Amino acid sequence: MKSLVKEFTKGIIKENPTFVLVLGLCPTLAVSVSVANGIGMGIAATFVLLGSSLIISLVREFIPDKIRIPCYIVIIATFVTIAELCMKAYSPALDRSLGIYVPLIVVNCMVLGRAEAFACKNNLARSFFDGLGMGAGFTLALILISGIREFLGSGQILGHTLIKGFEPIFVFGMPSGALLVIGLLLGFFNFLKNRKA
Amino acid sequence: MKEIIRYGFILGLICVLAAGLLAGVNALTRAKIAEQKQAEEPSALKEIMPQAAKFIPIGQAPELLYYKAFDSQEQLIGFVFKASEKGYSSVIQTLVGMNLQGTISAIKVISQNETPGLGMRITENKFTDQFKNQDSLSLSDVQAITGATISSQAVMNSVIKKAQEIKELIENDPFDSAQVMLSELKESRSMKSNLIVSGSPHIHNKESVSRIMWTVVLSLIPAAVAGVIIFGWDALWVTLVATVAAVLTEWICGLLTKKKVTISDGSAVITGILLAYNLPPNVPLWLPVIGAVFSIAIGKQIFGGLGQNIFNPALVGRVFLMASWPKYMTTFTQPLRAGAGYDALTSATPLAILKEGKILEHISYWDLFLGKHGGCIGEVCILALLIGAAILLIKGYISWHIPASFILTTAGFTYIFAGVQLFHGDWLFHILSGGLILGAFFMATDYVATPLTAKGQLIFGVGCGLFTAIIRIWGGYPEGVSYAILMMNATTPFIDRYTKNKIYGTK
Repeated sequence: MKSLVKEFTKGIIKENPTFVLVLGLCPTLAVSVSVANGIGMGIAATFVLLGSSLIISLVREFIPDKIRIPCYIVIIATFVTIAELCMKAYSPALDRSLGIYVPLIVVNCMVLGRAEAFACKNNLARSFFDGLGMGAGFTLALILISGIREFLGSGQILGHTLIKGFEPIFVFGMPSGALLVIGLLLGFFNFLKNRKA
Repeated sequence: MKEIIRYGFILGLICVLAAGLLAGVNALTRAKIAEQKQAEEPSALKEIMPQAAKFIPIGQAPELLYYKAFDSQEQLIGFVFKASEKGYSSVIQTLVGMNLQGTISAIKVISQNETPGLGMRITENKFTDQFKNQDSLSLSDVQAITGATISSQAVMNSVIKKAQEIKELIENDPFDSAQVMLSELKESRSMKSNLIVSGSPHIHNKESVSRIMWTVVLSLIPAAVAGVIIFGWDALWVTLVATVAAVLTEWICGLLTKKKVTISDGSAVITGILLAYNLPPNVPLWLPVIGAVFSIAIGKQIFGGLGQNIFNPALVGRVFLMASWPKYMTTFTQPLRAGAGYDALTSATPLAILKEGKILEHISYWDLFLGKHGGCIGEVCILALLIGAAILLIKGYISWHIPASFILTTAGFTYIFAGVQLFHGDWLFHILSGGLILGAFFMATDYVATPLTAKGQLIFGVGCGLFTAIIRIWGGYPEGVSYAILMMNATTPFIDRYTKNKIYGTK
């Protein structure tokens, strides 16, 4: 039981997919304009990660090594399509603002990375907690990045204006702002890690 | 062979299961998706005309003409139509509501890709609300957004044009024609004769980083004097604030990183001054502070301080400000005139006027040379800049390669392409306006981020000139000097690799 908790918590800090493993940066850069987008993307990626980790862990004895990659991709793509259809049906506004980045979760290296590095070697319960932890770590990283970007770039958080008279720094709403925020945060987390060591 | 069949079977099985699962999810969500799609359009229509209860499309689907809006009593109360026209960088589509008298009830920009912070402001309510209750055929009280004249004009023109069409359509409609009326420092790097690459023994001289830096500061003073004469004391405040903020940031970064504090070498002072020279004179004073902090902290210290930065720090700061607060960065004040108070009038820079396709009036080459026109603090007075540049050239702190190739390339390229026809461009105007002289002599000659050898410097200068001209003629911004220098800074390690001096005896 203790080890399961560990599988879950490592994804959040010690092996955070965005700041430590540096996986899945493409959607992180692209959708982190607002917190709402960050949460939506985080949930969609967590759903896909959980679903694919579970199924892959379940069928790992059955799938021959030589064709594992195409099998994983088919499984991942299935979950991505489910996520996309549900988003279109129940939250069309979120679907419109995330756009092409939802179907692109298929090629998100974080999802395939966990399938290759963890789910295909571990049992169902461990894979489930690994997927959940990684998904949570990814979602939290997205919320942090998009929170900083939304606040600086538009003066708001989740559409609410925080400080009156604050002149938004447009550059943080643009792609260059995403690179700037992620670069500085990566530097900051590495600084903390080095100081601890 | 047997293996292949087995693999194929397994993969096929997984695909079949996946397909089955997807078919199930699709069946569950299909109806809901269709419903959401349908709900979209009317909600936009309803925003335009809140009082209407029902909209009836007129015309067949690919060529939808307009919608007729009816109130709850089935009475025709107006029309909603889509107007579109090419703006500055994209086609702008607007949804317009018009009532029976031909006045506009509301407009909404539904699709555009204009410059963020400038043209993109057409989507703000401040702009769109002006259209309310305007006569759709004249829009006489609608004001274009400062710095976004082209985008604003496109919206207005498209509305007027389309309203006219709709009016004609309706008048020719036999059913209801009657009720409708419408409508980077390596020491001695880059120094021409001072850069002698030779074997030992070496003779020591009194040159040092700080001596060079303080001479550069001295050479920048004439431009500051000119800035104050032209724009008033505001220009001095902006320059002082930017310089103090740059030096303080350098000091704090030195303390935080526990490295030697390097403020006495004068490089931060130069960064501060150059940044201020690239700002309009009447910006709020927090703007140069943030720009200076960004220039030193992100543009320089994060790379490891003086000698490590890959881009010119002052330009990094300027570009950051330009992308963040374009409205302040593009509002220029007119030079002070006798009799006119300190409440300066805003005016566009000559390059911006040219970009908008208007004809320049009352501006002679002599006025451009002396700096009697709107622009950034340190860029307008060419005479003052040339005095400073002469000091640096005579002392041998900068070589002629970059400035000459930069300026000549810009002149040549604009002469060929900037005119109404080929070889009719006003090259002298392009040399004298904008930040070309400031950029060519003081920023493109930065020791850190520019190539080491003469050959490399010539390539660098030509590249800067090309980018500047291309941006000025076809780009989205009226001025391209800062972007041109930054882009060429990025190519410096590459240029250095291919142009470095061969060591004698090696291949």
